[in-house]
Amino acid sequence: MKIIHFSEKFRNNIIFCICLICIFLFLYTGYSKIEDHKRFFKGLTRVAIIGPYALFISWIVPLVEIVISVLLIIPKTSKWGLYGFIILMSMFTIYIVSMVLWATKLPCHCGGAIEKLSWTQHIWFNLAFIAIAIFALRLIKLNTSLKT
Amino acid sequence: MKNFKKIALGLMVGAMAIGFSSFINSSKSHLLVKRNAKGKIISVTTSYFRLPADASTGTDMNASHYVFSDGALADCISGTNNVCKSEWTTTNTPADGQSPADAGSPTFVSNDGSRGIYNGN
Repeated sequence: MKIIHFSEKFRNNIIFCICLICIFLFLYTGYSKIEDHKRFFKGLTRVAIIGPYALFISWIVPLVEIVISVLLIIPKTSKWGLYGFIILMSMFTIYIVSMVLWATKLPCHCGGAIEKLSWTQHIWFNLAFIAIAIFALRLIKLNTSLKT
Repeated sequence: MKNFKKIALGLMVGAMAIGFSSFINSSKSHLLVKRNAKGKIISVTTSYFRLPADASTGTDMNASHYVFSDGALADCISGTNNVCKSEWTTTNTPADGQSPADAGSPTFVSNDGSRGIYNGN
C-alpha cells in the first residue's frame, strides 16, 4: 500500500501528528534540562571530550531544542523544524554510539524519563524518531510534487 | 484560520510537555523538610550514600562515611550485600558532595534497604 494513494488531507494530518510528537519530545527534554540545569551541567563536565565546553553546551542544547520546537509549531516553518530535529537527533545518536564504543563510564543527561532507558534502547528510540521525521519530510515533498 | 488551529494545538502539546516535565522532575526529590511556625527549617531527613572505601555489610553510624548526591544517576551497584544507603537527619539542607556532618548536627535514622556499592555519581 503506497502512501500516495491517501488523500492530501490525510497526509497533512500525518505530518502534523509527527510534528506534535517531535514538539512534545523536544520541549519535554529541553525544559527538564533547563529546570535541572545544575545536574545537566555537572553530568556534561564528566564527559572527557566535551567537559571543557560543558557550560556552553548545557545552555545551547536545550535552547536549540526549544527553537526547533517553535519552528515545528509554526506551520510555515515546520519543514525547517523537521530538518533541525533530524540533525539534532542524529548528533545525539552519534554521541550515544561513540559513548557506548569508547567511554568507560556512560553518563546520560538527556532529561526526564528518557534517562531511564538503557543505551541500546536509547539508540533505537532516537533512530525511530529520526525515521518518523524523515517520513514526514518525504510526505511534505510528495505533497509539493503532486501540487506542481 | 487552519494555521491558527495548528499553532494552538502545537502550543497545547508544548504546554503539556512542560507540565509533564515539571511533574516528573518534582517527584525526584526525597528530602523530608520540617519547619517551625515561622517557616524556618528545623530538620532535613534524606538518604546519603555510603562511601565505597567504607563499604561493609554492617550498619555504619559514622556520619563522615556518607555523602549526599543530588545526581539522578547516583545509585547503588548491586552484586554485594553491603549497606549502601542510610537516612540521616540534619539541621540544614545538604548540598551535593556533603556528608551528614557538613549539613549540621547529624542524627542517624535508619539503613535504607539498598544493598551494593555507591556508583560515585
